[in-house]
Amino acid sequence: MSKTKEELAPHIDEIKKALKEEVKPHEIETELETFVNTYGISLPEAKRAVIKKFGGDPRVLSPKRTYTVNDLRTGLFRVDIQGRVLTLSKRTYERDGQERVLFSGILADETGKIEFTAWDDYGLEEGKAYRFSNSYTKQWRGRTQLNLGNNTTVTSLSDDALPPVEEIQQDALMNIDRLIQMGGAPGVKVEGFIVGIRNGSGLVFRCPECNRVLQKKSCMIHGNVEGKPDLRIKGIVDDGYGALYLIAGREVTESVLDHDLDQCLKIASERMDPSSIQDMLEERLMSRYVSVSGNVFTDDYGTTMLVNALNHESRDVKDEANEMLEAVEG
Amino acid sequence: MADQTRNRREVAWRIFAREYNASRYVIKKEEEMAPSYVISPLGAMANRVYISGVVTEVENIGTDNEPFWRVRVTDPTGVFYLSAGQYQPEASKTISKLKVPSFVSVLGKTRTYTPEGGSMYVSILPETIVEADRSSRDLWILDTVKKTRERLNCITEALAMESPVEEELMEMGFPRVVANGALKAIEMYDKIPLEEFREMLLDPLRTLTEAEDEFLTAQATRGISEEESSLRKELLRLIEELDTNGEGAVYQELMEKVVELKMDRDETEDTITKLLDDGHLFEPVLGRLKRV
Repeated sequence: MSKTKEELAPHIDEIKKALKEEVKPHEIETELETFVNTYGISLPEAKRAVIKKFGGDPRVLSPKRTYTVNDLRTGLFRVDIQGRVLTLSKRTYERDGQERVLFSGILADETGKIEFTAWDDYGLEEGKAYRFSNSYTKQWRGRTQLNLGNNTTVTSLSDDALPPVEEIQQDALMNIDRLIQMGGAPGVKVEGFIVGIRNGSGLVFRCPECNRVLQKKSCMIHGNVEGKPDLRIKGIVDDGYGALYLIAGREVTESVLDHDLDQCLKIASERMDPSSIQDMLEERLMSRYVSVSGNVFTDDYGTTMLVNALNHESRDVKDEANEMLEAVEG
Repeated sequence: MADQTRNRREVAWRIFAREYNASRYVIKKEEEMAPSYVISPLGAMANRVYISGVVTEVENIGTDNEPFWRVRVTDPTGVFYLSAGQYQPEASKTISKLKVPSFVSVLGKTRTYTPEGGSMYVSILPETIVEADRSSRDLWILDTVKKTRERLNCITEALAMESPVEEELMEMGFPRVVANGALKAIEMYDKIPLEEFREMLLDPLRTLTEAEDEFLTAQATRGISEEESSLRKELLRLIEELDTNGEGAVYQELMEKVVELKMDRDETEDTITKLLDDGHLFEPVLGRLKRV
């Protein structure tokens, strides 16, 4: 079905925006006309193709859509989403010599949690459920963040629209690839095999001044100091979709080892080898299937989880296998 | 997004030996140090794999001073071929101490080799090998069945679409990497034997649901003539019977038995070779045979 120039005009505009105004309108028009009028391609498919052809990302075309937290990604517009505000804090900032307020917090639904910033006072309250229409996402400190701006409308929802706070606070299971795409997220869980325990795991000594881990009994800033002992795990978990670096502190490490710091110090001095604790960790963790939860962030070294809990997955393999056997045999 | 992928660690794909060994394509970039990816028939795009199985053979084809190791690791669908030399010091150290048979988990880089005029072979360059136990091996099988099935389903859906796109597959619930790989596989492979790969999943699942012995016998005799199948069964039984100290049955003793039982010697030797090739038997030391 042929389309007139007038009919195509708004779409050309949209494509131009999607291409960050880097392509001239008449070039877009020629391309779009060819797809639609010469080859009879449907308009949505043609728009996608034109953007792709000029090196753009057709996903920004996404129509206004209802999202869940786990399908949000950076650079979305016209996002409709509902969730429960878990935390909320108010800050003031100055723009054009005027003092303004902004609110930031964490929004959660059944699929996960995301940080948000509201550039206006929408009367949000902690613990309540809302629908945000026409919000957008962008990247902030390496993570995907939800933003409530000029065009966003906020509707209060009845309390039973979403699971209660206690339930929704639970860390949602995420695929590591998604987590890396999002640049991280607060309070998530992943499951996979531990494929690496990195050097510097186990018993370490920290600088009493700056808390840095000492290298060869010396702090890179404060020189030779009497180190404070500590336990940690630096590991890698891989779920078959992505690999995530892990850092776990003393508490988690003690529970994995089933030994506390004092016992570890004793073991290390008996064996005259501080790295024996790292060996113990390798023995207990390497090639194990685990679930880990915590906060995930991205920096120059990659995407890392600060681990709050690490558990060996105990599963009924035979049961699950039987179920799958039925499904495969069909 | 660019800086998020810059330091991205390559994921380790879960893949069974048969699917891995059936890989015929690799994506290699021209630049030096650029990662290469083996494209499996079901769309694993693997620069790295994570596998688990039984070590059935360890061989040093280098020298004592400069060892170069060849290792066979068997899973319920076939054999993974590993090789490691001086540039894999950690893995080499572990390999030198491996017991045959034993459970291992291996994290490794994918390697390909294409002989002149031939089709591509794959192997694994191990980064880390750890001794495993049955429970982590079983969890690996379960995880690998799930992921293989997901790839299988994704390709099936993509083949049903007129012009499949990643976003559409993702909206159906397939992870991005799976959708992406499925499209690559469809592009590269003329015909993907989906049904064969679906059937391939039955053996791994049965190792988890059936008693091990029954399973191995069933597996070693499936899809072959009744005559050969009964010969295989008989041989496996004899080998187990003669394996009194756990170090394997002495070949000479087995052959004496074979003569005693008036079995055809040539046929028996052929069958033993087949059982060795298929990974149901292995030689712990020269002149001894042992069941996996």
